Amino acid sequence: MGAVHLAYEVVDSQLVDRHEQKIGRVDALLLEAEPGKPLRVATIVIGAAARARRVGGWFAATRRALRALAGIRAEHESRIPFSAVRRIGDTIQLDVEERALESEHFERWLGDHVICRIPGASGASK
Amino acid sequence: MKKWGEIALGVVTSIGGFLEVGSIATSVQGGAIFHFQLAWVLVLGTASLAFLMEMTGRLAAVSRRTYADLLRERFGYRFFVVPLLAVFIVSLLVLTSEIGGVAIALQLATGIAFRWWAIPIALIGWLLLWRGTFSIVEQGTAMLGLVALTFAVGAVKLHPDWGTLGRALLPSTPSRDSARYWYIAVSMLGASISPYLYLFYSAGAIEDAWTIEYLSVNRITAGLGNLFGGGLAIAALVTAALVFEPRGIQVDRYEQIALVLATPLGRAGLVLFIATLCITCFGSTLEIALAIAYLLAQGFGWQWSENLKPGKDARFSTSYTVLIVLAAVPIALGADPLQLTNLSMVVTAASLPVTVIPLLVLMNDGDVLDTHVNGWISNTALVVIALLSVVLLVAALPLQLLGGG
Amino acid sequence: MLQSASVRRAALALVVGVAIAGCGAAPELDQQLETLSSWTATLELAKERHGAAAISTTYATQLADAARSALGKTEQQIGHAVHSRIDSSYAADALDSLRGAIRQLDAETGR
Repeated sequence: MGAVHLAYEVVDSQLVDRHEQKIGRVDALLLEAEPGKPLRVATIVIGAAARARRVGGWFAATRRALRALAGIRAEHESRIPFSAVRRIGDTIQLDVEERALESEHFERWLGDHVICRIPGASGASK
Repeated sequence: MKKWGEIALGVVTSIGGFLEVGSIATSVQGGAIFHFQLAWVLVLGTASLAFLMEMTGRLAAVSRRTYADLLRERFGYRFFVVPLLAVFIVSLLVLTSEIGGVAIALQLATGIAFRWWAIPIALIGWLLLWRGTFSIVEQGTAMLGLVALTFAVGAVKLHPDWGTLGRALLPSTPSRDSARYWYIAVSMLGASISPYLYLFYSAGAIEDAWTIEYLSVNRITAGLGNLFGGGLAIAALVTAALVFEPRGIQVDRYEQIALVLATPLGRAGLVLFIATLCITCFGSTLEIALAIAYLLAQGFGWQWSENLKPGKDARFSTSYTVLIVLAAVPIALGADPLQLTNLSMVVTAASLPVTVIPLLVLMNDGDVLDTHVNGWISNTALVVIALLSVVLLVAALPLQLLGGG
Repeated sequence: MLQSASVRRAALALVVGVAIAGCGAAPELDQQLETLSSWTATLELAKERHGAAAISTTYATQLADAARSALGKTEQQIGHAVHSRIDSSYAADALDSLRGAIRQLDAETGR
């Protein structure tokens, strides 16, 4: 594989799991610095908190305050080792299961508790 | 062969899709006060939309990603938040107006006040999105939307002076009532060039699995579809110019607009007007709810498709559900639909820069479009449209204060 | 000192101008009369169309009701815009015309 331009080809790219299911976008990349070792791209972060921080400190702080007001504590964020990257192209494929991702919590919660209560929501294709 | 079917469908969709509550209201108001004079604004708006749709369609066909996808990917989340918020708020306002349009149509037909129709309309719209596929939504509204051709028939039957109309297709300045003239001009542009239209078109190209082979389909659909659609808006303006203007009837309420077809088409006229208003606004309701849901899903990377069962794309389907119900609330509470429409059109016009200017970058980006980047014609058109959008942003607020109802 | 006085005057003019433009100050008499004659003409057209069986009674009734509410609103506001005897006779005529048109449409629809 040739050089990968992190900013243009990785950050904000669409992520898909083993089954080509969409699992969000690359909201942040974490580098890892271990003494004596070179810096390397270690982790892909999928999560609203990471996104908010990219807009600005004030944005993230406002978001935290609003969530505190609403009594929402849990941050559902996924940190996936960069080694899970299988393919970088139109989308970035990760060797993970959508079901196992913490960041997909809301999708699953909606699916199980709201959507499935309404007729016509599941079953064979439309 | 299949391509010709797709072109036909795309053109037909655009014909009915162009005319909706905003175009009907602003074209009729414009014709009633200024006769044919504002027709050039519709030409400008239609041409601009045609170019914008061709471009976002080309983006989807070549890069296999929608315009919303690319807004996030190529500009980063930090920038994306701006068009996200702008389009969300503005489109929600327009969505409310469209539901208002359907509600008014049903009131005109039955006598039952429009506020009682708001929730039922939202529920039926929701049901169609919940159970229907993209093709069903697209084709259904396209076929039924053809009823909008009524305006063309009505306009012709009124025997317009074609010479005067032809001259009105060229820009002109008003001899009186400047503030009102330019206010209506801005709201006509907001009705013609709505971000949800070219965002939806881009998403639709992906739903329909367009590839590079579809570039000519894209060009023909965007061009012809808007040509006919814009023609219908001009027809609406003409009917108002010939029925209302000579009698000094200015449009303050939707109830008055319905009269415009009762003169050339008799009994059928009122029925067809009500049907046109009802169907075109309902189609737009579905389209806008989907467009906003697409924007959210694509921007945040959720699973999405109108062809998936709602259980498979929970956040996406929850989005359009919440949106359509939310938009029905102001109408159910009795908000004046015509004032709401006029306001939403001006606000739309003012919001254009954030979705037009990024195209200047994307359409010339070889990484995204390969060899299919803009030629000089498209780029010139895009620069003109971008400048227009900035003018609209600057002019919108003063005009709303000085020329608004 | 002279400069600051003219700047202040300009600022005041700007504020007053925006305030006038922005506030929902009672519409001018011309606009009120236009609205009244517009509705009068609307109802005349409606009466003619109803006679030709081109519009339903349900719809014509809604028009009459809409005209009535426009009449009521204008009646309230027009007092503020009238500044002379001629003005008030124009206003009275316009209001009467609309009232007459409403009565005629009601008669036409059998209310």
